[in-house]
Amino acid sequence: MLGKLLYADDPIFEDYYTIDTPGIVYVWDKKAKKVVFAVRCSTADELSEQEYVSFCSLFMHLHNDSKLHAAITNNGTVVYGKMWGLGWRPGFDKGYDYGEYAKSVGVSEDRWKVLRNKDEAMHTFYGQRYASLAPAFWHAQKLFNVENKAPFFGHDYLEDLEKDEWAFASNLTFIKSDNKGRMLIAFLNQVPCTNL
Amino acid sequence: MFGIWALVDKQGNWISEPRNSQEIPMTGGFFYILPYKIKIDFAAQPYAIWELIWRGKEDVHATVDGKMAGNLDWFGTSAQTSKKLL
Repeated sequence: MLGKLLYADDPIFEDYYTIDTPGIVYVWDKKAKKVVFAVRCSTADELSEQEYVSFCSLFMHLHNDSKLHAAITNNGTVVYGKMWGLGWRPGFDKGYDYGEYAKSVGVSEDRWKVLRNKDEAMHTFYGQRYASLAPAFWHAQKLFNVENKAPFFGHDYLEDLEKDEWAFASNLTFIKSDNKGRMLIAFLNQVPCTNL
Repeated sequence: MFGIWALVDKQGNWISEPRNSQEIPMTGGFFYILPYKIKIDFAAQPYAIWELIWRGKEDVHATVDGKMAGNLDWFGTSAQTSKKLL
């Protein structure tokens, strides 16, 4: 089935439910009886000082790292903008392991090592952000299933799950708008169709 | 999938508040999940951190075309996560 690219003003979006305020929202699929989506929107004043600094460091780190890698041109998802494969390729099995994607030809080892020395801290913070949302996600699922009550907004690991079940990051990508200021169309697992 | 989005300048600095009262950093460019008809309107909170967990292989999803102010980027990063969660 051939699809067509959708733009922001396409009528298909007129009856979409819009999430546009700070907070956490979970989406519950009644038919599947499970939570299928979660979003957390945090303004700067809602973050701790450490979180604020860590986010700044993460963005700066990935911005700098993107200069040491060639942009991805062939994964079929980017229409506008730029995408890189960065970060920590292994790690899905253990969560704390990480590796790096290859650097571009011509990047000096010294320049490369400066960023690689920061990888562990970046990886850890990234994991913490995921881990602070994922258990709440899972807990929301549990509460919906068992009690049908409001979701739990927690940050604790759940004791009845193995830590590896929260393992993340088989890879990490970094995307930006292109030189015309256009944001990308990415994370696209198939071309959306109006007749779906 | 787990993803993080935020507004950054061309040097990689997070822009967490307006730099002037006239600033319109971005227009359009929302993320959507087609099967559930949900839009995540990044432009409504452009100075916030947006973090999402979604079913990357199951649900049709994308970020639609948007426009940035000339000296800014819309940053996005994602990691594949354990399927056990979803």
